[in-house]
Amino acid sequence: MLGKAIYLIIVLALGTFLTRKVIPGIIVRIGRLMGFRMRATPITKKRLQRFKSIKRGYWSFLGISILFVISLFLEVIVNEKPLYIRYKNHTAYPAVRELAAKWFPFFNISTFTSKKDFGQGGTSGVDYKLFKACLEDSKNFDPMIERTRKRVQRAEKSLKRLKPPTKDSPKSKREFYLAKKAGLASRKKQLADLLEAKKAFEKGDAYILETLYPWSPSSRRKDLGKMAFHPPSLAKGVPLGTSSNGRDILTLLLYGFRISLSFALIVAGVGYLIGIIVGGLQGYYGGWVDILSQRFVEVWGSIPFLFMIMIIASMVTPTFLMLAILLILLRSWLGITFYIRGEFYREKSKDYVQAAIASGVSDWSIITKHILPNSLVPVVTFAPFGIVAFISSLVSLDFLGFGLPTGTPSWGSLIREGLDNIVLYPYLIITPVTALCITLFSVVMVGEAVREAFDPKVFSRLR
Amino acid sequence: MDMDDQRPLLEVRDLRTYFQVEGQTAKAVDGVSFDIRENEVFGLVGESGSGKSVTSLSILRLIPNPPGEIVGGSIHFRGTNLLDLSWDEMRKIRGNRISMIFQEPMTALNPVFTIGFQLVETIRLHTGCGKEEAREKAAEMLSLVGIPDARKRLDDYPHQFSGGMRQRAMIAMALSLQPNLLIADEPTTALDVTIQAQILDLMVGLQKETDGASMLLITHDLAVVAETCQRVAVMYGGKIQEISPVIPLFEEPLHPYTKGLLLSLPHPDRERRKRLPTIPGIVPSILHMPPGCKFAERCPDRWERCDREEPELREIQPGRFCRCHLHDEEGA
Amino acid sequence: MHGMMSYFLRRLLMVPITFILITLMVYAVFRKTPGGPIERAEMMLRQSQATEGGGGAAELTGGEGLTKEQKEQLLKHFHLDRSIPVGYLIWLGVWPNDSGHFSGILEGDFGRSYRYNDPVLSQIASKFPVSIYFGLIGYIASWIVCIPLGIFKALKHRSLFDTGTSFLVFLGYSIPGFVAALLLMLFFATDNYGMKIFPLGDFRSQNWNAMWEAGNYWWCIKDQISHTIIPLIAYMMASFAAMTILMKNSLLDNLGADYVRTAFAKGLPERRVIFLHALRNSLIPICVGIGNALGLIFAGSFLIEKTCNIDGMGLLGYNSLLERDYPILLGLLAIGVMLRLVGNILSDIILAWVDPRVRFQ
Ligand SMILES: Nc1ncnc2c1ncn2[C@@H]1O[C@H](COP(=O)(O)OP(=O)(O)O)[C@@H](O)[C@H]1O
Ligand SMILES: [Mg+2]
Repeated sequence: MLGKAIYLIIVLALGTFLTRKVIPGIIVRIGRLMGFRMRATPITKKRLQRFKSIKRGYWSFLGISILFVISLFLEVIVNEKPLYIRYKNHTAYPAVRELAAKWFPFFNISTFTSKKDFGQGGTSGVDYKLFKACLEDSKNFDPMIERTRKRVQRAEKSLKRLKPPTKDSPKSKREFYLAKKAGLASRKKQLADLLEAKKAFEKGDAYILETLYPWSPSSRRKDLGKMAFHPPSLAKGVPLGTSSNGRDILTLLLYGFRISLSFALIVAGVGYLIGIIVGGLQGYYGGWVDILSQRFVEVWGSIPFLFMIMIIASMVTPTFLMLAILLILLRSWLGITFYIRGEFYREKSKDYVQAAIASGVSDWSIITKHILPNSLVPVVTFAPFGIVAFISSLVSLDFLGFGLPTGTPSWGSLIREGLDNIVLYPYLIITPVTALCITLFSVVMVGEAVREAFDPKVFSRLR
Repeated sequence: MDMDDQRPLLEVRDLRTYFQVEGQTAKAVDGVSFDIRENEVFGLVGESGSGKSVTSLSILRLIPNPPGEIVGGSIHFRGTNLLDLSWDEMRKIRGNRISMIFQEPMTALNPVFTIGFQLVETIRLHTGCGKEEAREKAAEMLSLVGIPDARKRLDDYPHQFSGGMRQRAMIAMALSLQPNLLIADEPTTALDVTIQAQILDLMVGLQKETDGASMLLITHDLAVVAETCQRVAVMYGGKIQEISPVIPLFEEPLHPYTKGLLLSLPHPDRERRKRLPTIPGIVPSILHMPPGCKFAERCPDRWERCDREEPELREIQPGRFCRCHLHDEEGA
Repeated sequence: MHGMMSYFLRRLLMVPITFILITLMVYAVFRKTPGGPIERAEMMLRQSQATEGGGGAAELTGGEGLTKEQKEQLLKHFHLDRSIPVGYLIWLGVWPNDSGHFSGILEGDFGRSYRYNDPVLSQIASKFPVSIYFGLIGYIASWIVCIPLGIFKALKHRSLFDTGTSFLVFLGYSIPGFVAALLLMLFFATDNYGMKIFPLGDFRSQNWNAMWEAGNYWWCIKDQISHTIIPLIAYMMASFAAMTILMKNSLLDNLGADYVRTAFAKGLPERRVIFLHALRNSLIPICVGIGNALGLIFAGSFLIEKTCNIDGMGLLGYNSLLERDYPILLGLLAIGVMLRLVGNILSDIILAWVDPRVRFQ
């Protein structure tokens, strides 16, 4: 218990450190590399100050971003695979490897650990839960040992019934006999291994370090028995219950949080980037490029985008990336072009920009140094509300069954399960909906604070 | 302050209007006192940001709150203190007894109502006359301010008028009820130079026609003052620095700031080509006013006392008041 | 005035172009993907042989296995034997079909459903009233709630009331409509919490029509209302927050405008300044929203109709997607795009109508 508490504190502390110190620094570096000045003007400073002074928005922002940064390392925090496992001289870091595999998919990192290396006998993947149970109480070996012993006996019996082949018995028979014999040997070896393992475990020559919450969204909670629906119960160790196929809802929600938020961030980020480029080109160069592309934006914007995505999704099951690309193409870049175009247009006609143009400064540095920083205000104020919209879009698509492939931990499909079981299992609705609403509400709070910081509204009566 | 036995039309005493800006107090108007007599055109000059508009808005109690508030002083109009009036009593004075023309003709009119509607509304409110009658009067006023085809233009919307025409319409609206006091807050700064003079003449002329009517003309243009005003107050940093009848002010300015303003005036004797001298330095931020004389930083004649101690507004010559340590010596 | 006309003409010209581009794109996508009427007919056939039910495209084939001629006949029936452009033009109604007639959406013929072999239009028309019922009532209801609320919030800016309702508004904003419907259904339409006041989904009770014919009007009205409340709230959620905040901010902006100060300086009473001068201006953006809501009334209903099991256009679209009933989907898309385009133009017209600055450009 104490270990877990320390673990949790470390996770939170590291997450906070990363979010507040490391990541802003990285962003500033990248910005400098791209030729931006990355120094806050007095106005920006004042706005930031105002944003910080709006507590509910600022704390929501910190909360959401720290949680998101932490969720990037979810594999080593919430995972049925242990962080570290050791048996005699075999060690493995399955959770860490899984995290690495997630982040570097092109390296083909395997997370497989074989049973035979970890004193469980057999060739399939290690049963970590069993490993842990045995470590706590070596009696848990007994059923395994018993089962293996029975197999050995059965193999011995059937081998005895076979007459040993002579030199001139057919080849197939000889081979069959040899195989049987080998089988018996391996069973015996397994038994011996198990007995040895039991001793080793008793001596303490094995170790497992589990993650904070040792369950995964990808497999069912076998510890709870065969039934699928388990209502939330702290006593049983399922704080939020299980889904219709027996998966732990807490893990689904956490992994779903990461998916939803990264989806929305990608869609918003890439979409706004495209929007800034298109709007910037329109506003900066004007002329027929402007007119034509504006018409195009108009046509494109008339597509009912959710319907369109659903049509496409009904034909091919979309992946995360495909959904993101669809939403970017069909929606997220459009709204911002109009504003950026206007800002560029306005900024460009200002004296200092005209002076810079006249003195032969390159277009790129005029844009990055002068125009862009001043025209990002609408982006910043839109972004939170965009994120809310894109999270909702993903949830809606998943809810209707036209979103991420089945099996992906997603809030929408959980909510759908809730709808399907509304009469019998209300907890299936309550937990994902609460998670969704808290998240969206926090983002909305951030958005409202940003808006208030950038464009404070006052109501003055005249007196 | 005033030697006349006749009671002035408007007496402003120690007016203080403060704004709360980001937790700090901006003293936009800080202890302003002046009188406006009957039949007088009184000028209020000063660089922008010196508190002229806030002073005039305070007279009509049109200070937006928050952030602003009239925190002290009194404004007596014909003997009644405007600051003591109820909102409803104040309403009866606005437009009717005191009316105002704003700096920005482009935005001062409601864009979704016709000029006629906005004129008729004002006239009917204060006179209670019928619709047709009010319309008649509105058309009359419009043609009086020099808008051709006035009856037809009543149905136009503000954006169909040019800036100059809008300001004329504003003047028509302000004068339609023959107010005793007309406040004109930089009525021509937003307009073309060519029509500035026209508008000004029109306004002053019309106001003079009404018997006993006075005018508070706010401007940062001393040339305008020289032409139209009888007396002038010079404002800087939320305080009045000098009050004087117009002729002595131009002949012998008492305050260094006034001298600076006069120097920057184009003069027929001076060579055209040369750039006009402007007062060096900028207006100090209203949030960080110096403790001593507000003008000290830019003053060519400053001495150590100026930074330490704020001078009083004192009568230096009969009818002429000045807030400057230079004259302490002479007086003492 | 002249500029306005040419502007509208340009906008109107954009309508057919946009419409054709989008529908052509989707038509081509549909034609290129498997799961057309033949597969559907074969599947139906298997089903109908199993259940002896029959119906749908299977009727065309006479109930036995699909022969080559039958397949061809089917393809012909849905114009799938033609190239994509020609097929599209036939669908549009500017190219003669096999019988030499022009019969496409321009003639009001949206083709036939793969699934039911009914005319698409009659399918859609039968669902339209249901969707419009909720869309319209929801929209009107949100006007009735949001505008006074927004005004009040603006006048009481930063008061306890404003902060409190802002909290509610933002909470509303962060709960998608269908989720709200789900929650309401959970609490008030199931027995989980002992507060079952409303029925669990559906547009009306099953026996509604019978009761109506029997003259049980009072019962019918009550039944309809109790079925309406939850979806209606869900519909309102969509526009509630945005409209309230828009109203509030717009009024706040106008109350700070110069012309309001002029109005006060003229001596107008505060009520007239706020409720005539400022309000008239701040209603402009709200009114312009009407046009855009036209599409919303249609498009937003997918989720709520699915959640509340309301048999409207959204559910029709959802089922058609599952069944790959492309003619219906194309029909819905055509109507959806058309509603949006008309909505945009409607917004422009309304703007010109309420804002003289635009009208006399
Ligand atoms: N609504 C307001 N909010 C905050 N400060 C204001 C407001 N109106 C005026 N001020 C402050 O009052 C000072 C005087 O402004 P003003 O009277 O408009 O100057 P001017 O002499 O140019 O008319 C300004 O420096 C400004 O900072
Ligand atoms: Mg001013």
